[in-house]
Amino acid sequence: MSTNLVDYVDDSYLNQSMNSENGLDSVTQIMYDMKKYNIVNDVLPPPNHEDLHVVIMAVSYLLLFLLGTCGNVAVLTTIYHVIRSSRATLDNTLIYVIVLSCVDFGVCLSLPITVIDQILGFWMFGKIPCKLHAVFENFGKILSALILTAMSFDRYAGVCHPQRKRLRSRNFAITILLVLAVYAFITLCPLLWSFTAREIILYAKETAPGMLTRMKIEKCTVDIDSQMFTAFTIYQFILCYCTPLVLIAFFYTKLLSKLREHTRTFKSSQIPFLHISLYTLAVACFYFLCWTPFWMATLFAVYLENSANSSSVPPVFVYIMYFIHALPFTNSAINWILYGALNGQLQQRYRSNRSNSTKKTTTTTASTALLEKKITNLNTNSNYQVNGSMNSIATAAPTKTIGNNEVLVATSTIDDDVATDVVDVRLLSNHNPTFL
Amino acid sequence: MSSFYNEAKFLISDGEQMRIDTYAVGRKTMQQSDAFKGTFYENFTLVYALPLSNHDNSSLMLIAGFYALLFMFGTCGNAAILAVVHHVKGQDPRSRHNTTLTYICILSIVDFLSMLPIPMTIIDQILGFWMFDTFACKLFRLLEHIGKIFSTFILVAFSIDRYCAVCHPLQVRVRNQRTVFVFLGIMFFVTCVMLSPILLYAHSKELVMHEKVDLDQEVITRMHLYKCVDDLGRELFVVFTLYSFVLAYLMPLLFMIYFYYEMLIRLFKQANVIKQTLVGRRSGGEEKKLTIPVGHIAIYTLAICSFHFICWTPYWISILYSLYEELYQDTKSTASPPTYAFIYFMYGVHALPYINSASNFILYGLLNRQLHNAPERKYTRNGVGGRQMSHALTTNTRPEYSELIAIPSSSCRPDSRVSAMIHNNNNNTESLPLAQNISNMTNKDSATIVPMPMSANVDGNEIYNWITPDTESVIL
Repeated sequence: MSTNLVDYVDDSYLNQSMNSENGLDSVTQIMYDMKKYNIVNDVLPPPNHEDLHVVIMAVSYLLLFLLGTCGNVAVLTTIYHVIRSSRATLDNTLIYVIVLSCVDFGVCLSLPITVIDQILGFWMFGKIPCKLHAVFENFGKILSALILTAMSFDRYAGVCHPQRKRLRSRNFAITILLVLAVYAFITLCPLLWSFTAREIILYAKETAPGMLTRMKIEKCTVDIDSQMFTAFTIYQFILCYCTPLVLIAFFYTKLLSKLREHTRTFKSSQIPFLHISLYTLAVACFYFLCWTPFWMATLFAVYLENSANSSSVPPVFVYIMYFIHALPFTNSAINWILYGALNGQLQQRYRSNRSNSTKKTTTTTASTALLEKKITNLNTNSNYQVNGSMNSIATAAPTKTIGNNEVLVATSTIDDDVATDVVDVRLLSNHNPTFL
Repeated sequence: MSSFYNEAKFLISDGEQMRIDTYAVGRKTMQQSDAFKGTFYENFTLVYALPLSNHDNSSLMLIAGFYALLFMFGTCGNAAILAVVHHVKGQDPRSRHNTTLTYICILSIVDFLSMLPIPMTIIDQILGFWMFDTFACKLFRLLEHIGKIFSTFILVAFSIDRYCAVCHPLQVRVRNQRTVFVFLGIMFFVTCVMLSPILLYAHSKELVMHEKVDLDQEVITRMHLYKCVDDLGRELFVVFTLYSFVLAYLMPLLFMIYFYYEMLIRLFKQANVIKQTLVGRRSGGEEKKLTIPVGHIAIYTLAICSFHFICWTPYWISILYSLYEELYQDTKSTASPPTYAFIYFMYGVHALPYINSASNFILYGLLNRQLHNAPERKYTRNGVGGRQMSHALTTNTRPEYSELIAIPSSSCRPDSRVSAMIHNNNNNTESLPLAQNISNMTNKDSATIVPMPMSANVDGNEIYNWITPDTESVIL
């Protein structure tokens, strides 16, 4: 999509330049009769290596490529290592992170192709690679944004509806991912089908009697008429940008409201509400900052395409478009930091493997109780029931001094609260807490 | 982009045929040029043309594609190893001071940096000329040669590290973190000194391929291109090539072979001593579990040396061959131009060092058991149940040599001196014949048996004390 948009702007810009400088020749070009010429020479333009903005764009895109591919591979390797070492099964958060890393890796693979296309000034690979490039770039970017939405729903379900086990099962996560892939593919199908290596003649000149020399290039662009492209862009904007944005804002708002309510009710709670709030805001704002300029620029280009005075494109606009189109790639290249490296759940996996350490953790009281349950089971080999009452914990605790202190703190907290809050504590302790 | 173009035709020699290529040229007026002042061409207009890109040459595009795959494999592989090492160091505090992990980290970083020039190489192949400037040319050469020299030095340091761990396990100072960084610093300094001629003389050089004079229109058309060349003088090129060959290929290879050979000799001796020690034990099942996996270590070491040899020997032979051509090109005035097969063969030979940098993380990272077994060790300390579970899984899924690390449950490692004394008292009767056998062996073969830190009342527990953490790190 970004390639297509750049091509539209480039074509307008080129037409403007040619019209302003060679008005007479431009009229003459249309009147060329190809039958008159025995010899036609096709010439390629010189590459854009002397343009400073092309070099800057090339270096920036290659850096994004390195950051995206190596970062995503690092996250996948770490997840593989964590799962293999702790012998734990995949939960749905890790499934989302794995699929997100694979999709972002695919998106970043298209960056070097874009760089070569910009440096040479034409598409050198042919028609079939043109379609593959479009699939990796456009389909991957849309699917990446949709997976971020699914992850926000996963966290929302984990915090606001912990009793609904089915919403956070592995099968549910896999089903969601398949539905999102089909959804992205269906919305993009008209665009992907229309991508082709289209021939463009930049310049033609009669250089000898019976011989025509013309500068012909190929561009990987959408072969679709203007009106259909406008309609397609508008519904793409609604389905793939507005809807995910509204859903992300809704889910994270509900999540933060629930956590704030819980924090206010239980004063001794150790949930790092401030940390979770900052993380959630960073995730939502980063998504907004990367995609909003892209879609605003897309709509603006469509507006320029439909307006009568199509020759009013300023040259500086083309350079701004290059920067704006790098933003979705930046999103794909940096997602592994926000969702992988900073994911507390991976770090918590490290910490749970060192249960002997006396380091103070930031887990909640319920999480501490769960940890005590696991240690008790490990020591006494008893088959402890998860749905048991708090009295069972007090019964098992006297075997360990440290554990006894922890459980006493939890018990005293429960006794001071109203009966309805006791139910909430029990519900919270029935599942592993969600770490962002 | 200028919208006004002229065309220029050049007669190009294409093997045995002649063909006319048409080029698009941009107008650059260079009247009053100093080079033409006072000559017949003083008032001529100078026009420059760039050659066409190589995107139609399918063979060259295949080579560029192969380089691209190599770049992907090398950067992502080394990044993955760095992530795993970072994870292992964060999880196990003892492994933070492990010199082997430090070497793996530095090696992955250096190999990652040596992969970065490949995109420039690919763009140079596609365009047919160097589109960057002199500073990028110097940076390109620096990153390219660091991977060739500094990476090789790290592999030698790796072999020294393993040699010291096996042959001199008690000299802890040699395998200290500070010693490692001092050693790496010295090697980096030597690398920079060796590469200083390249950094001084590398630049983007303009080459004029064709020139055409049009007398009627008073236009001179030139087809020029830029190349990133080293441009050393003839004597300096000879000296640079020779000392690079000796210091960066020959000596590292000999050092690597020597240290790994000494390490294997020592391990074979230790394996024999352990086997003889365990003959007296009654239980035959435990005998297999305590043998050092010498065969596996030997195969691994041979793979390392062979891989290094295969990647670097063709490269250096081609360098010496070009040096020979440079020296004796005067006497071969009738030398024929190189064929296409020879050019593509040279492309393949020069890709071998990149294959080495892209694959080092497999030999030194993925196959290193320390990265795989570090989490296992932590897991076995969670409790008795966890230990039994870990041992069962290890027996079912791991090769036999890794049993040496996962200690069997029947022989618990004593956590303190008191526990060790209790075990010794309990097993005093059973271990009496074993002590006599060891005493007899000591008296007979005192000159050939490698001394081990054993006491008179050796039993099953004492043998494990000899396997120090440093010794464990050698088990590959």
